[in-house]
Amino acid sequence: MASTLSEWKSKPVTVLTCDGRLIVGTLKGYDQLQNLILCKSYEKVYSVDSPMEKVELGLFVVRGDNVAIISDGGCGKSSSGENNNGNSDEGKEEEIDDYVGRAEPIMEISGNR
Amino acid sequence: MLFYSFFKTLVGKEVAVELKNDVILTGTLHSVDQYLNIKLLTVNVVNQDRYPQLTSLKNCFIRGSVVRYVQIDPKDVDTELLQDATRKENSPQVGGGALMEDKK
Amino acid sequence: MEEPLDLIRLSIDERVYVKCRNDRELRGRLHAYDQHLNMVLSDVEETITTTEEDEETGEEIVSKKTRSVGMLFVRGDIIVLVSPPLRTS
Repeated sequence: MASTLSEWKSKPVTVLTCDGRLIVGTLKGYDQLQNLILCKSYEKVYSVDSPMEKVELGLFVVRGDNVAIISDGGCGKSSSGENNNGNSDEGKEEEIDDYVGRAEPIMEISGNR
Repeated sequence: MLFYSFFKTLVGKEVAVELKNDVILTGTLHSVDQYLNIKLLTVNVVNQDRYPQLTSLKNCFIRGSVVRYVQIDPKDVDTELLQDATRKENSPQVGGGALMEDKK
Repeated sequence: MEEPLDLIRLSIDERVYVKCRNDRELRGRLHAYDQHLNMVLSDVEETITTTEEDEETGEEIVSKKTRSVGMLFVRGDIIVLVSPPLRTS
């Protein structure tokens, strides 16, 4: 019954942080406070001026307090929007389904302690 | 533990979770824990035009601390039972346990 | 013994006014609460007040939006104050 992250261990996950950033990585470990170990991670940076940009982050720990949502998959369902920018030469993973267009950034979570 | 028990009675139901950053996610309540962390299945974002980057979310673990509201279908809630459980849990003498389950 | 939560206990099954952070106000019937002030309300009307500054005149424009929700769980940490039974509305 408890909400656990066990089924997503060693799988790709997307994390929305409290400051509104989206980070994709492989869930290497976690604890009760949602402190997370993510490896091979990158941030998906969205803005209204340019299509999504990936920023490589590598291996790190996210402190649980700063986690808002953890979702399975490096991103699954396809989504329409602006056409994919022609940057497919990296061609790997399931990124084709990612929303790569422009988007207003997500607001940060206010009053979170 | 009152709301933990309450949300357990809503497992399998459709709910809308509004976060403190105004994002609203709808989905089927899969599980809840004592911190009121919530796991939703088949998630959809309300206002997809504003949040296209979140349309790809499918199954979500939502940290209890970032929740502002959870909208529930009124017909999924037994308000009498809930009020009785609330009165007991907050009664001056004793702090209760999982009262909602006892009554079932 | 008159603890603050005793007052809220007396408001069960009554319509209450709840003021929240970020200029949000709720009016609804109270069905449940706990020591964190997590709550369940029904027939809720939420009012959100926003103030914007007019770019040219610098005047403050106050606008109120309301919406109705049938049944709502409210997380206690956003609640600023709770006012027991409403006579009005």
